[in-house]
Amino acid sequence: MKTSDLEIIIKNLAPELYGYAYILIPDDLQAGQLIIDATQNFVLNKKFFIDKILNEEVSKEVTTEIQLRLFQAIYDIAKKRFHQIKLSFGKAEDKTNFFLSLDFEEKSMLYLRIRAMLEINQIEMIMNQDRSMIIAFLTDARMKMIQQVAVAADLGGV
Amino acid sequence: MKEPLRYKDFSCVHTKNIFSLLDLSEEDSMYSFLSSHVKKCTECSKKLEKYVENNLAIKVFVPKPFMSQDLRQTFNSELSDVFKIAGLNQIENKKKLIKQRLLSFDSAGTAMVQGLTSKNMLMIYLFVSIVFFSLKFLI
Repeated sequence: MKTSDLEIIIKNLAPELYGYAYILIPDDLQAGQLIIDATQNFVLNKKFFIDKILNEEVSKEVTTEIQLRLFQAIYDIAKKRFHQIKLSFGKAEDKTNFFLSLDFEEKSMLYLRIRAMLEINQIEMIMNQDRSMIIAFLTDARMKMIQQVAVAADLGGV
Repeated sequence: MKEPLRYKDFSCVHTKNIFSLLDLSEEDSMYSFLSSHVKKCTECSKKLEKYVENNLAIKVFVPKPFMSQDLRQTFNSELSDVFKIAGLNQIENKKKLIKQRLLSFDSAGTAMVQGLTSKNMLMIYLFVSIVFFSLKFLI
């Protein structure tokens, strides 16, 4: 793989990266900056991994591996930033949006599982949590959403 | 979705765990235990069925944010800059290499000219020309 191939792969992954960043930090500019910082972090600090993939052919497995590493970088940075800036977008966060009212970890896991369609072991790697914790978080997140949707349906909201 | 599922309503101790069937792989040891339990327990079987149905309904509430074209362009240009900084841009690397080679060639040339016009070399030229002319007049 050439370095230009790696650049193209990352450019093509941008919409997925942005989607994940936005659900973690629901603000256009913050999410945009988040994916830029995560990519910078990945390119400048993961030299060993980049050297390894540059010796391999372009394949779906390599693309998935890059995507997972970038998701991991986004999660790590977002986790720190979320707690620092959550007050600033507290008002913007719509409480009637069942998904955005979930906890940070729950949102992350549910998005990765449902929208990004990742396996549990891949989510384990991104979030650095063990399998049982992830399954418990996922079940709780689903239950919370089911209950919120049901309540809203009873009130005639859904 | 009129009756939401609530943990406190579950009468079977395994009901809470059977929901993990959605996320467990078939190779997982828990998967075979839970799936065989669901076949035997009507309570769990009903709850799982309802959970799967509700899970499909909540999928629509998980957003898929859209990335604007402007943001994508900004990201692409930032990425190109990062690749240049990290030394991963092949065109930039070639330009740098050519520049380095030209500079080393230039410095070698400068060193050679400096060497040829140094004090010692001038003395040598003078000495050689004296010897040359002396020999020429003598012979």
